[in-house]
Amino acid sequence: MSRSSAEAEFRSMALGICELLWMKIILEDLRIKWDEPMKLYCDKKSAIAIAHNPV
Amino acid sequence: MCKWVYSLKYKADGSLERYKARLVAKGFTQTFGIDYQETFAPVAKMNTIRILFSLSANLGWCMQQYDVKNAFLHGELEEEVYMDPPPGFSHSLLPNQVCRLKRALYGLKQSPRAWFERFTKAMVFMGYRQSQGDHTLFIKHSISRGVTILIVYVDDIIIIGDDFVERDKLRKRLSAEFEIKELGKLKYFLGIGVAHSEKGIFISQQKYILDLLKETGMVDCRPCETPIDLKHRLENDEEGATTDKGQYQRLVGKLIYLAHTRPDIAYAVSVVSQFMHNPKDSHLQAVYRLLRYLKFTPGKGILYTNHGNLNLECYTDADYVGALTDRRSTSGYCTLLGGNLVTWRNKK
Repeated sequence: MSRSSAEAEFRSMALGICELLWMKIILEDLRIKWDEPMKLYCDKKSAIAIAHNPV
Repeated sequence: MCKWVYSLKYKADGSLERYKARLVAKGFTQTFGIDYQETFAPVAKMNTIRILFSLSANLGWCMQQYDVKNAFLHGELEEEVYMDPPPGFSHSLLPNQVCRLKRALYGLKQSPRAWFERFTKAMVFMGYRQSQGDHTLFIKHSISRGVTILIVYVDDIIIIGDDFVERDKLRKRLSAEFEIKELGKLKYFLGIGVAHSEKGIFISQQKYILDLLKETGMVDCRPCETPIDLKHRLENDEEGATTDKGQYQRLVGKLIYLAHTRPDIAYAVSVVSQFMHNPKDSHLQAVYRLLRYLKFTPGKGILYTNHGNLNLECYTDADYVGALTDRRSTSGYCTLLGGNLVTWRNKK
């Protein structure tokens, strides 16, 4: 259970990151080079701030 | 214990192609630890398959489909398995004699695993590397030419890549090792239709949807423009009339499978699957509403095109007060590879 909307958004970011990391393993196995860093989008500023500053 | 299973195979036009007879073991008479141990065998993840679609569209790779004839019969048994002689065969044996199986049969608990193990061994022997992200994915890079990728779903095989010399070699070695049927360019795989055009690759489950509508008697239903009510209160239904659990679970199971090419119904499907253990009439009505939405949009699918880049992006979102009964929020994400949608999830 999330106690704030930022926490809920943060949880979904964590889920999304898991998926990106799994895709990274597959793409590295295939030796696919991607051009830019992976991007993670989220529409909640406070959740992004928490993600940038793990305490 | 075993029996013969006879079936008829029809061609696409409905005419009879051939008669099949298959000896099937009665796996339910097996005992764990005595004549079988491990039974798990992996199958290809849909997410991996969609990644391969996106890469193929972006890099112009070609996708060929094959299937392995009598795949399970190739599996080698590690356990000692004994079986009564097949019906119609016993006269050539002394009474009380039994058969010891050397290879797997259809119906044995360990057959899928034995087959997958045998296949993996053959692929590794041919110089392919098994991916750790998806064990059904096998990859070989050649120094000068390119890459060859193979993904296997039980007896269905897709070969992808730009190295035609290696692909040819692989095809020959596979048919020498197992006997495979060439189905040509990938068109239909696990109930998913694949269309190729100069725009890209389009995947959809239209046939599956039309069959589902036929089966549920919804062919002539009134189409509906949205998959689910915006402010549904399905979680609160405590007193409503219960509905047939088996039928509900079968229907929702089909919708979950359908969501492979339909991110637009992912949320609605995740809502209706929360009531599998105790479905009420209101939940069944929500399923029927979803079917009416499918009637409105049977041809929708995902188009994979060449966007000229291979960037990875992920969009995430969550709601905070969606669930009134247990206050747990719903989160969701979708990821794009090279501008094409490859994975998504909706989770409560």
